[in-house]
Amino acid sequence: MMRAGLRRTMTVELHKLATTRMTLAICAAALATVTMFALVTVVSAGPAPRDGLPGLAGEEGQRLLLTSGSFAAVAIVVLGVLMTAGEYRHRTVVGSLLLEPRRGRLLGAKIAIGATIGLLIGAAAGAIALGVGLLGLGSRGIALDLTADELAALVAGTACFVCVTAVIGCAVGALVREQVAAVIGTLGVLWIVDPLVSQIIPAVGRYGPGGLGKSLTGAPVDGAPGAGSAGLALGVLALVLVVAALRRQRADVFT
Amino acid sequence: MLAFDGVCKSFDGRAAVEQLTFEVRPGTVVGFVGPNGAGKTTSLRILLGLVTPDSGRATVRGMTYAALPDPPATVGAALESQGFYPGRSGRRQLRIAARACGRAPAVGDETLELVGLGGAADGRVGDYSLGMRMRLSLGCALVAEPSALVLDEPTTGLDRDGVRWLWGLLRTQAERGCAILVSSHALHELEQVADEVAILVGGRLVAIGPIAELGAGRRATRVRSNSSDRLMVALREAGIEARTQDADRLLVVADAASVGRIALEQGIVISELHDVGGDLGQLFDELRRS
Repeated sequence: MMRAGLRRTMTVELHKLATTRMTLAICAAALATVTMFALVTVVSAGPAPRDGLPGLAGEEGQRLLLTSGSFAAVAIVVLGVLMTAGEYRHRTVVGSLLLEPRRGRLLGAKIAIGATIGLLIGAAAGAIALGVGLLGLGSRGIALDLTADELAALVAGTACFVCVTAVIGCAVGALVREQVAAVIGTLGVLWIVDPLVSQIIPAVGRYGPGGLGKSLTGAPVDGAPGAGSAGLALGVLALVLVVAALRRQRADVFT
Repeated sequence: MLAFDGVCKSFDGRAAVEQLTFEVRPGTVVGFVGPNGAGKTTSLRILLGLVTPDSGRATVRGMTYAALPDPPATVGAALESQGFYPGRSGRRQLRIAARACGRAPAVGDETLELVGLGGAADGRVGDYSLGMRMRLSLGCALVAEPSALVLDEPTTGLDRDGVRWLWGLLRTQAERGCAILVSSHALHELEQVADEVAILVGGRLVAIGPIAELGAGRRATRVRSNSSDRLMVALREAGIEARTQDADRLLVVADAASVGRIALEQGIVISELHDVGGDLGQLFDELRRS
């Protein structure tokens, strides 16, 4: 009964997402961003290191190019926030809670759907970055320095990273509830504050969400933890946010 | 079927609902009336699990809404503030509601026809008028043919024909055994459809029963006193509902003799005592104005 109820709630949440243009637009934007970054990198970077950037002829440069799929996380974290905070913006939360009054189950279904979309888009983004990268390297006559297993790990790491950011987005949206503040806050922390910290104090930055994400996807970071440890740390961060969001679900709903 | 049992809720120390107790039986339409801010919406939200009561229980078939085996298929609800994603069509919205109730999506299409939105089924909800959105809310409530309906101000945005259609729909639902609780701030609206009315004023249930019975013998009194605050406390302690009309004037749901006796017992000087009358509509209008 419990499992059937959760499955029904997940089906409903999936249909809600599938019947909004926002979902398609954000997923398309995520993949377009990845394609653009991979193309720009493959065209603009030289075989040898230049202006502080590693060359494509070396492993470090190739890892940087082939992990550009992680840029999909920017769009997918926004999708996660909109899935939960958007319910308050459009005042659809009342209807959702009338259809599924068990708030933990409703949030759980949203997170599960968000994570699945994140995983699929992350895998697609990783594959696009890999495809564009390999074609670019081949067309420029640059030999690949990575093994097939390492390439598979890059795609898997990218998929996991985008999946975790989707969960973080859902949890932050459910916590903050104010959609604009949640989107700006999440993007600001992940893509402005965190990179700044990494620039100023690299020893701390490599343990921030961005640094851990790079480790997870296999991008080059000096002294970074291994992909497994980074994935675990990001998972714990997502879990803490989900637990906080679940506690917030007990509040009265008046919107 | 639907029951409130000693429900209390306050916000920032201010009571919104006080000791609310009443029941809606299968096959009956109960009108839940009261002025704006009386606590009707809060009470309905408590019944539907959106707001947690401070004490007491609001139940459906003896269970809280969230504890029901299949909540949306048991109780259909349409709340005034309910929103819809503006880019989604009415058809898709109702198909989602049908799926959530474990029904086939085609049931959603049939319900659209029932609520008179068949012609606008594929239009964006964002382009719907207020009345059309209310019909869509009613469609979501009715999609699973629930055994209870909870409707908050369902006439909002409906024209006269729409209101007539709604009352007909509710009577049909009641005839098939549905328990219906419908709120309104206008008593006269509900006279045509409700078997009983529950009147809520200041978060307190001041009357419940068939409209005809409630009107008979019910008195209200307007009273002026320099000690109106003390008199209000004394009246409430005696279980009599009273509301402040202005600085030194109260409207009391009781006859003049009862008010005079309580004032005498408390040594409170009264400068005016005026019988408002026995008509329920007149009394309700006085309460709404106060």
